[in-house]
Amino acid sequence: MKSTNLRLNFVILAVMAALGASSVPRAEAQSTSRPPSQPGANSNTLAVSSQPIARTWTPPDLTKIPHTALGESILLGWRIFEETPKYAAQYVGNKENCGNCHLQGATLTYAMPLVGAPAWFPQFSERAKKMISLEDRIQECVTRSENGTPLPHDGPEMRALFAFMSWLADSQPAGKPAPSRGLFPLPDLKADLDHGRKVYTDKCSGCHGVDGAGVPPILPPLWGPGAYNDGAGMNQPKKMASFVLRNMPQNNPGSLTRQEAFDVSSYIASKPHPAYNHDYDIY
Amino acid sequence: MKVIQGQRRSSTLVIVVTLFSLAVFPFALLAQSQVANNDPRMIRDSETTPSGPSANAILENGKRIFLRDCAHCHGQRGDGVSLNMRTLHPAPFDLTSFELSESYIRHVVREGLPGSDMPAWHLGSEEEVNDVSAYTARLEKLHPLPSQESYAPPDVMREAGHRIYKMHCVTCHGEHGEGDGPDASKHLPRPASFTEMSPAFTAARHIIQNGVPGTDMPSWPLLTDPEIQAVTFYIQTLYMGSSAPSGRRP
Repeated sequence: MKSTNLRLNFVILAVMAALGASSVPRAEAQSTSRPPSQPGANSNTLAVSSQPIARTWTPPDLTKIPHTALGESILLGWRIFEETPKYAAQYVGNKENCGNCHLQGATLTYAMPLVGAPAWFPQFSERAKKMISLEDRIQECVTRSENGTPLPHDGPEMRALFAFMSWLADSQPAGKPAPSRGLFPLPDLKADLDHGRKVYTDKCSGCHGVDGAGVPPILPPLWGPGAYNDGAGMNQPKKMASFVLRNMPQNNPGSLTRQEAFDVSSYIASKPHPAYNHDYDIY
Repeated sequence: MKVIQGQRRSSTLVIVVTLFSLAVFPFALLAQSQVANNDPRMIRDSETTPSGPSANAILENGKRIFLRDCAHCHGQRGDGVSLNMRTLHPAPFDLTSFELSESYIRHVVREGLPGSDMPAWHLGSEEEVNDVSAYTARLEKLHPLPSQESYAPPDVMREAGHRIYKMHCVTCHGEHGEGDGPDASKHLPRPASFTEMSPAFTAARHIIQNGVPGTDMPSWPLLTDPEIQAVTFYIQTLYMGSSAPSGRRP
């Protein structure tokens, strides 16, 4: 009798295990696979005022890119952005990604976010001393920071970058705050290159290397053949210092003083960079 | 007479249920352990002593113990999805997202994990602990990263990952990933030792982006996607578990 009970127990356990093995849902390690919520689903009720109003800006969700021709273009734009030498290979002359400076998919405040950038143009360019279009501005990036050749104005790459930047703003409700533009403003400072070298060795060389070559495409080069050329904004110590002050060193951003940020930026600018081709001054 | 009839009926029932479960059970097992069947995690016959039980017997026994003693928190699949998952802090460990060395599993089962709800498990015999550790180390693991999703070739990933690890992880997880960095003693549960556990890419990404609630592992939104992939790649190279003795009863 006892043995029957034991057997029964084992059988029940086995059946439970068999059923359990096939019915327990798998844990999704990535929350991104959840179906998108539909805020407009209840709009025919009086829920308009009770809808949560976005008070802070939330980065867009890549999994919500539509599966359409436009969606394909947005996705290509994102890929060009994050792996520029791979997806825009014929136009890029170094090993830098757009996302190396425009951090977190161009959505981070004080790291030159590009959320809704197509709506800012045409605008007056201090560099060109004229009104420029977003195409012109992208060409400046490609010929300077990417040390490459201009993209075709109506090519798939240019359209993809436009689609991506527009989409960054599209996924937000109207009237919400967006990341503020540009970089953190800095006063004029006087550079101390020796101090800059010391800061670089202590705080930067762990990732970017003592040779400044980084490990592209994961960690960006700062000088040498793989880096931006001497016409790039990042080659201006004041501009780079604004970027460094808020975003670097990456394991403890904000830990450098303004002077340290300026010194290290000047030190990096004093290193060799590829030469900018002035034929591209037309942009 | 009635009693005898009742007995006969119940034994018929037992036979029917047994036959049914024998028919269904292998399929459920097959689906679950297909990966384990044709890869090096499977216990090889040469690893078991000639006089000892076969590898399959060890795993069968381990599975039985796992379902009896572990599954109510770690879930039947071992992925941490269980009825108790919401009541525990930190949440039960997802055993399917990490390669784990058998010696480490044995250690945690015997000693528990201080700072978490994982108790020291003194009830089982030595043999049971060994069997359940052997089974747990061979739970189905999540798939590796497809090569087309990798941002760079392996040597680039390793070098970049090493640099990122030194800058971001080393103060707690230690220079050689043994969980013994200079700040490690400030934290309970102790920082993970990557020589004993190797995370899958999806799990590492989730943990770096979200942290582990209930432990001192913070969310670390400073890292970009390529950097997370590279550092995970490097962390996986620190794992020493495969060289640990396995599947053998002392």
